[in-house]
Amino acid sequence: MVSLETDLNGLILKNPIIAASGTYGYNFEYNAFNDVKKLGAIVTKGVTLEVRGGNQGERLFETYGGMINRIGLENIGIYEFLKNQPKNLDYILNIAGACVEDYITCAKICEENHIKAIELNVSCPNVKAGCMEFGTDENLLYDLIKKFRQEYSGYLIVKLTPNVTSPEKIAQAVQKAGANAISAINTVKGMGIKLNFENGRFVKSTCEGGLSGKCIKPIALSFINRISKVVNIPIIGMGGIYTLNDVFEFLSVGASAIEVGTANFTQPDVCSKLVDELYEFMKKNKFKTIESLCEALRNG
Amino acid sequence: MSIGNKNNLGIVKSNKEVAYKTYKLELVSEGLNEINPGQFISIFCPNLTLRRPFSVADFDEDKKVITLYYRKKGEGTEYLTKLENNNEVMFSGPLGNGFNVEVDKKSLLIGAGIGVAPLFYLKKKLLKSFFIAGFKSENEVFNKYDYVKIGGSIVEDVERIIWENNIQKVYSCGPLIVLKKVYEICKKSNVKVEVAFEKVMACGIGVCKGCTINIKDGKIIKNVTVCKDGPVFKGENIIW
Repeated sequence: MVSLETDLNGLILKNPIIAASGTYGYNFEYNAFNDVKKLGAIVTKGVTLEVRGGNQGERLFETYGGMINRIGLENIGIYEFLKNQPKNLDYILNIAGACVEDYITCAKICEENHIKAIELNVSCPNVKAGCMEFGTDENLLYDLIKKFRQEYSGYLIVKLTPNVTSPEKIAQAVQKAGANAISAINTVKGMGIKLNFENGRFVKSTCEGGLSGKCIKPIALSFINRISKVVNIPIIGMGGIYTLNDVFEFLSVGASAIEVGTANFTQPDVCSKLVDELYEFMKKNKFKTIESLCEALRNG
Repeated sequence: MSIGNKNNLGIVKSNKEVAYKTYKLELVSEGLNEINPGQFISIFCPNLTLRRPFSVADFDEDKKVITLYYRKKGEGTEYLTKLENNNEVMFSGPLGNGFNVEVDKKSLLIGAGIGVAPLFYLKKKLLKSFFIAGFKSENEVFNKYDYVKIGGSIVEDVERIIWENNIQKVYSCGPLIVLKKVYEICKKSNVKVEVAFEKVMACGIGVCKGCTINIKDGKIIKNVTVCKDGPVFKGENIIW
């Protein structure tokens, strides 16, 4: 018997394949393309305390091997989300905020509503502290998670930004503050430029935002490899995962589960296919558990 | 909705150049049932992150044949030109909300460039229509129209045609600048107009919010997605 059950030390998933925030909606929307129930979980689109309209102007820019987005967290707000919570679906609620108070209010709301698991997006600028991103300063991040933890007793995952100089320090602060797990990496800061030379002058349009897709996989692998050496809470790896081999690479550097993001845009049924392929691989090669597979990969 | 019904596979029936850099692609896809004019499909292109959206130019429900027209422009359409008969194509669709087809109304269809594509399928569903098209040059013209303008702007003739033909409704697709002018003329002529938009998209089903535009909904301004809420919008709701 092959079991894909994945124990993230407090959160048990039926398999380690998770759809990443912002690429799968809030609910069963991707049933249009595949059976969402097959996945280990989905992470919802990021919600904030208030409804947000997001950024004006062009929001997407395709790059070589990836894309840049600057959606600006357009979302329905936490109250609206709670009104139509997914039923019979394993989901992780992604939460973002513009200041500590917003996050804490969300923590209280989630506690009251018995939200089982949260992924905290900390790659947002703190508008009350010079717009420094929470996730780039270990002290700011430690305080935020500590306060969030005091209000929320469920399973807490903190999603880390790669746009830092010392991932180790950040990861240690997250663990010390009481998070149950780390997910990484969020998008990489990037800029796309389109230049046209028309009637003797350059016409330029730009898109600055978060780079994702195949091109960021080496950055993600390096990041996870570094932090897995200094923390012992589970790591959920992501960044450019498209294939089963990509999944294996992430597990081999210390991830216990993975998230698929941008690939959902390229191949909208990729998540359920990865679940099938993982099962087939394990069956064929006589791996009975995810732990045994991970162990073999880490020793490889 | 049955699970996975937007995830489809097409077999290339034909793929040929019909005018300068303009191609006609026919796909057979057994999974398809109903498609409304103005809806689109999004095609997977190897080595590219984003699927490429193309509006449906015809659909034969019995033979399950979908027709697209595309203009060779970038890497996505470059891939399409290389497709040969019996090749497999992965696509999502049909997606989006199409035209609100008012069968009996005397309709004017205005296409500019490759924007004519969805209007062929729309024309099939209308009883009384007049189809006009604008192209930059003679070698870009494909298919038949009631009136064709080469060079210059197709919109120059719209006001007269509306008046001469007692047009009750206008449908248009093409570059934003053309749609805007069409809307202004329709407003002046007191005729309702629906326009089909184009935008870079990611998910195709309205969840990623990558292709939003602002529209007027009564007195409020709200975000809508071109891929799910559109690509067709009422002219009067657009913030031009």
